[in-house]
Amino acid sequence: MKKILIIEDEKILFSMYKEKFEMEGFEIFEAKDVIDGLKLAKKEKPDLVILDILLPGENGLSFLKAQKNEPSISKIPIIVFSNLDDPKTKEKADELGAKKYLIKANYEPRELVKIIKKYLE
Amino acid sequence: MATIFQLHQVILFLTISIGLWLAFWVYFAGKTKKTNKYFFWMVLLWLTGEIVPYFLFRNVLLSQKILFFLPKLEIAFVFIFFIFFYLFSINFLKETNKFPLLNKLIPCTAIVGAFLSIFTNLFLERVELTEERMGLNLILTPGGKIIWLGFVIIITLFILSRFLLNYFRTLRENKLRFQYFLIGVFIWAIINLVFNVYFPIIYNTFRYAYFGNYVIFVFFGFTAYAIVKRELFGIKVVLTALLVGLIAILLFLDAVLFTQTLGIQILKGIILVIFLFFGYSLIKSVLREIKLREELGIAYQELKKLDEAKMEFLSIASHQLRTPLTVIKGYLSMILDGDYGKIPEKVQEKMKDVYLSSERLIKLVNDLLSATRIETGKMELKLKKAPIEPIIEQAIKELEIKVKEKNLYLRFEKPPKESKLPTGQAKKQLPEMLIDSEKIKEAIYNIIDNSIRYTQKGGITIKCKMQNSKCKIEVSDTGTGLTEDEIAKLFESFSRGAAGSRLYSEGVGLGLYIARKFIEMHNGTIRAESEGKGKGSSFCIELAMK
Repeated sequence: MKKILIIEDEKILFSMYKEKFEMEGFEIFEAKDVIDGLKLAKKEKPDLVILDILLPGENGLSFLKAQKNEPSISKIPIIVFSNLDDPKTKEKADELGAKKYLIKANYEPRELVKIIKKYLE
Repeated sequence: MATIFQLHQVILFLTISIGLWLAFWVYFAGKTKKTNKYFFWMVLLWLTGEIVPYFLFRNVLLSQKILFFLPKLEIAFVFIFFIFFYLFSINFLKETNKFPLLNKLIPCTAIVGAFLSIFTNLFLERVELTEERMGLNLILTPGGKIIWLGFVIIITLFILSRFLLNYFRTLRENKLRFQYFLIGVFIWAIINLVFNVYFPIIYNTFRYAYFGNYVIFVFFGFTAYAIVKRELFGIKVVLTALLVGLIAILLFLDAVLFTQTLGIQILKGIILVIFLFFGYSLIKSVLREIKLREELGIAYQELKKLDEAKMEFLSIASHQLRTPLTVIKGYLSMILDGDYGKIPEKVQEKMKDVYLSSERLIKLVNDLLSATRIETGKMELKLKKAPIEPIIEQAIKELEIKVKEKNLYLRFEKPPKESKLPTGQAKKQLPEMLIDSEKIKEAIYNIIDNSIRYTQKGGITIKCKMQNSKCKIEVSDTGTGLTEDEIAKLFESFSRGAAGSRLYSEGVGLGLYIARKFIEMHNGTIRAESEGKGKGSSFCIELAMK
């Protein structure tokens, strides 16, 4: 069973995605901020990370930065999933190695599943 | 003879006072800065060079030796002065690191020159007692003349050239400082060259030398002002003021010294007053113009800040709006997908409507964000080579549900595959173009979406072809059509009041505005045509091939 780490602080959004992904047969791990996210990533070594940007404490970009310098988790594909539509942030995320930058409101859960399945192959 | 000396003394006293004041003013304005320190020493040296001869030469009964020695000091002093002049200028220009060799060479050469001029007779041939110039006339050796003047001129030209070179490279604020310095140097150099160089060499007389010496304070004055003041009046103002002052002085002198008749004197006096009045208002208007320009600059900066704030606010607002919309859209689509089991038909129907409404809201938020970004100039193109057909097909796919709901057709008439080339290869009809696929897709989506909204029966046809080395995309519908008036206002954003003319409350009228902007960012054009109400409309996009 593939493991997915979702770093998202909005409970209501998180439960929606968790439900959908669990229906599709994935194992879901939850983190509410970058620090927890890094800890969990190092511990569980998920197959994919879904990363929000606007988080309490440091924003999602610092997760991307930290991940690059951590050899144990640097190879995990990261998809940025945020409602923040800022060109500069998108560019930065791209530079830091995010596989994709998706605006949450533009995707249905089913479409999200399709995309992550692609990156899990 | 006595009167000349007294005039000398007055002028000397004045210049020493001004000089000291300038030197200390600059020094205290920046005790730590090298530029200020070099300036201070430069001025002090000059003053010493002027004071010593004047006070000592008054007593013509000095022994012959001293009489011969002091002028040598004077020549030496010029050498030393130029060390500080060079050091000061290089520091003022912030080019201390550029000429490390010269930084050592010039002072060394100057010191050698000073040494030689004091302890040998290489420079000074003889001294003559005359009535001019405080009683002493320096006659230099021919070789001495060349070396001494050569040294002076070469360094001055070098400094001037560095200034001119740097002048064209610096920012506006620095330009002013340089302008002041240059004007001061220029005036000083010209007058000095005439009275201290040309006259002595050609006419062998230092009679007018003091003229050149005093004018150095013009140079010092301008430079000091440029160093100390942070905010300088534009050079225009200074030059205008100088010119007005000069003409006023000349008019005055003319009226007082060279006019015989009282009547004409009065007339000239009146002319002087009128002139002063106009000169004053001229300067005032120049100052006002400068102030206005500054205010404009500040207003512009404020506007830019406001734009930034607008964008930041909108980014955050749209993020906040999107979060609950995401939840609504998410769960609705999962329910409609059957993830929570079967739901009654009736419920499904209504859920679909709710879903479409939430989609509308999401599109609205996206459009508002895009429109504001376009208007504040923050929209950027990400150009990549891509074929146009898949983009159109993608837009069509995203609108399939909508057309099905309204029972309309949505056809894409691709260009016919051209007959094979002689080589047997199929000619690609639509080559790849350098475009931002996302934005072109959104533009096409918005246009088709708009057509769907205004078409009740029939459908929409999309054609695409190459024409005159341009890619032409045509979207035609069998809908309500447009009047000429409507066509004119069609692509404006709602902020211009155009949407008021639209009868349908669906949509805010931003879709076509954004479509037009995106196409125009690609240097393309978009046109709407219609034969009138009820006769459908067609939208024509033209993109240049790149």
